[in-house]
Amino acid sequence: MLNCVQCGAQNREGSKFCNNCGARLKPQSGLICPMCGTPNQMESVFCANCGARLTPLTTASAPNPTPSAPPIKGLSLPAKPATPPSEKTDEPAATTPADQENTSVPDWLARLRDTAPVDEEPTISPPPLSDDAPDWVKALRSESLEEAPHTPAEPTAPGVATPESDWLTQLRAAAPQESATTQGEEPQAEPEPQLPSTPGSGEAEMEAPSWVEHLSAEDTAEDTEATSEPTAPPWFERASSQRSFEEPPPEETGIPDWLAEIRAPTEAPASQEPSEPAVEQEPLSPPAETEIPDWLSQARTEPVTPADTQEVKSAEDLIQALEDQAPSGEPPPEPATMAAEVATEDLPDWLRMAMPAAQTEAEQPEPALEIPAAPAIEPAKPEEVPAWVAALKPAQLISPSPDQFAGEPAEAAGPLTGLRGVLPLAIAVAEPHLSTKGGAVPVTKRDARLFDSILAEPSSEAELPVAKKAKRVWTIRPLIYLLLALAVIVPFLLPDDLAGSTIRISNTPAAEFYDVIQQLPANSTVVLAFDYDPSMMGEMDAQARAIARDLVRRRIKLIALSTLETGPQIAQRILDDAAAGNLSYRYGSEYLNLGYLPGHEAGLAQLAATGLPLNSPDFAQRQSLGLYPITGNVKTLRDVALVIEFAGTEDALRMWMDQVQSRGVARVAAGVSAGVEPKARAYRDAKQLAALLSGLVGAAQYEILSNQPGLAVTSVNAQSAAQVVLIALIVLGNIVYWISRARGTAK
Amino acid sequence: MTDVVGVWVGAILTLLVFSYLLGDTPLFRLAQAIFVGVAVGYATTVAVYLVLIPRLVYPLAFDPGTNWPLFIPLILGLLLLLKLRTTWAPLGNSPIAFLFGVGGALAIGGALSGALLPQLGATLVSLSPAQGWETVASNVLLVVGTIGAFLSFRFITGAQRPAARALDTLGRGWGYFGRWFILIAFGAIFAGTAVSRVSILINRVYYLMHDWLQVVR
Repeated sequence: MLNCVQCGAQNREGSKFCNNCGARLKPQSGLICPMCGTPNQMESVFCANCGARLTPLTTASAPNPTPSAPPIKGLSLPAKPATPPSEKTDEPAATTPADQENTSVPDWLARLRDTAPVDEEPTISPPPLSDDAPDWVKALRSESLEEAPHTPAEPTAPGVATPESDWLTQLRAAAPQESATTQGEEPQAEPEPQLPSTPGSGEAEMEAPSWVEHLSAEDTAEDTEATSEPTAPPWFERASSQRSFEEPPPEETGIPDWLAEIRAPTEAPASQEPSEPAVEQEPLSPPAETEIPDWLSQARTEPVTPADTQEVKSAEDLIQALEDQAPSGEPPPEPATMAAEVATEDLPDWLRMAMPAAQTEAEQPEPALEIPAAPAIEPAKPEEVPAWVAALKPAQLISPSPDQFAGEPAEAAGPLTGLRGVLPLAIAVAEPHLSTKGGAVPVTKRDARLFDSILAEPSSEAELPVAKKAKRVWTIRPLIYLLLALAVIVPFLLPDDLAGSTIRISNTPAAEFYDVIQQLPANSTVVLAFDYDPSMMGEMDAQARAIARDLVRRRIKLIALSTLETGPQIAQRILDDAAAGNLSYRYGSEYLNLGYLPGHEAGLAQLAATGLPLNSPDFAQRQSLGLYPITGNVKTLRDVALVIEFAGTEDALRMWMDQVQSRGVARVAAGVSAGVEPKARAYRDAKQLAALLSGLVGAAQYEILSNQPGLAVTSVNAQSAAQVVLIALIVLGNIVYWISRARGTAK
Repeated sequence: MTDVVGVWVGAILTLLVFSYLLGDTPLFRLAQAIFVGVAVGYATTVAVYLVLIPRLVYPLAFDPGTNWPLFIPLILGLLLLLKLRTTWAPLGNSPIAFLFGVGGALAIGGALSGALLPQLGATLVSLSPAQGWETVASNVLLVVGTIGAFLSFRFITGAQRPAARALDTLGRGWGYFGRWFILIAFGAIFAGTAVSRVSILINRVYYLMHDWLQVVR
């Protein structure tokens, strides 16, 4: 059977999810982590999954010179500053319980008192466990009984052969001594560590709170059958007396012992004498709140408040819940009946199985109790114990070696005095210290060892391998350079008769361009825009020179400008060279260089909108444009016959088309680089460009058309040879690639 | 003498640039630095002496009453200089915004009227056989290629109805056909660029052989 970690319900072997709550079931072959439910080995101290502590901290078993508090109810008693006995005896009865509540009671205890009458109803103890139940379960039972401060002392005969675990025996053995010390009796002969709570003891180094001592006193009464009633705080008395009016006295006979514990608190307050807290409570005032850590304060309140112990579903809570749900008019059911019902119906399986079979059989003939005949219940097996209960198992029973913290230093001061293993320094030191920053992985450690081995080796420079000179890999690149150089140089060495002999001029864009120029009227004005920089002069100069010479020959006035800073200088050189062919051409009257037109698109838009900047100086003579005769008849672009844009880049042509041609202020023709031709051809096909001249070939065609062979015609053969070489290399490269691909050796 | 020095300087710089064939040599870096420095210095000189002084400083200095609108670009230009200092850089956002706003408006308006609409209109060609088979074939190819180029950027799929599925198949096939038009156009641009660079190479070789070495006429 598999027990659910969440609810404790039993499930069949092999079940993956709980039949009751649907939680995922995990095999409980080891120690189940109460935090994440991961099974761990029984000897594990910390969870392998979440790191939660699996075993509670325990006090040191070895003799400790420092007086340590006995393990009472699993709480670590805070250390109280040593107070001289004289100070305690000086004001023995001056403090009343009311004053204590107002002055010396810490907040956590005050809250506990406020909530105690409501929360801490007299509860019914769970059914006694069978003898076959594990010891630690009994220990839990005894702890739950001890945690109820109002539980009366059950008369237990000394020397009863009740199997108890060693730790429970120790716990009980420590309690009488404490009680005896508290009540001023003779100290026990055993040298057990005591709570120096009594002023008369002379050992006031550590004192426990009053409520703890009261609980200890009750424990003492249980074992030693002491007649003296422990002094209960007022809030506890009120709770007990209130409870006594609500519940009828149970029958004396036929009630099991654990049920008798339920009745005892209802009767105890009635016969309880007024306590004398003056002497008892004053020395046991809790230490200052500032000396107790918050977590300890919280932990100290937990065992006392049943509402906070919902995890342990004891029979008291269940019975109390049944009482609350019962109709008010009906008499309250018998506690034994309730307990039996709870034990047989509402109790968890594991707890029901822990009930002694003999007891249920003994109660069976009692009809009033209506306890159904319980079948023979097998004792709870260790593997059927819920994990959360297993987590509460005392460490002495869980850990195979009680001395697992023997190597740890014991706390010498503070509330954890006497405890070992609070800070597992030995474990921390023993853990391998790896760098968490870089993520210590085996590879890192391996590299570290390698690095250490390298450092350990003696360094010898002579043994270092000499870096070999990189072997020069032959590539086809120099061959390409050589072929291209030959294709460019050789045509210049050929006779001049071959220059331009292969140029076709009919039905070419150059012919269209030539026709446009020829159609321009004489003495008309043409604007030449030199929008290319010196890097494009090798290609664009040939066009510009050929067109400028032809225009000068046709006595067409020229106005040059540029949207680039370097354009005016190029324009000036070309205009001067063109004007040199016609001696009648003078600067200012037949041609003019406006210079740099700033603003790019904005400058062109302004030029198209407002005309020439007549107040601005020209490029050559730095005089106002309005002073030159050529500007007498040309004020705007509408006054020019044609705009020829020499564009080395696509953007330059686009600006002219967008800002000037689209406004319809002038016809635009373009002489462009070969790289711009594909874009410029779209303008020509759309009739946006009046004519288009492209590249060095176009310039050569125009030179031949205008019968002025020049640099373009001389260079066109070299251009053709270089293009043939390039085409051949491209084709050859593709062939080699496809062959390599077919062989599977292509890179 | 001046021409001879100029030719030698030009020839040496040309050879420095050609040294790039052997790799990224310091000689090429030297020529590159010289060209960049000269270009920037020349552009600055032109901007100052051909733009700022004659078109801004002189008008404001000699006739500020008439040319008072020039104070606006002057102020904007001065604010633009504040971009050089980090703490005052926000004051230079206004001229930047002005430049970008005007430039963007001009570019969008010019693109619509100078490129988009005219180019769309150019595709509205006649397919009448009366124009001759060559013209018709060219126009058909133009229309098919243009629409195919548009459809190649179509990324819609998953039609359910039969008619829509058939239309989707047609569009996908047409787009595949148009993609080849785009590739051919890219090839033409690359070839034109290569030809342009070869022309520049020829000009430099001719310069070395004609002007410097004088081995050709």
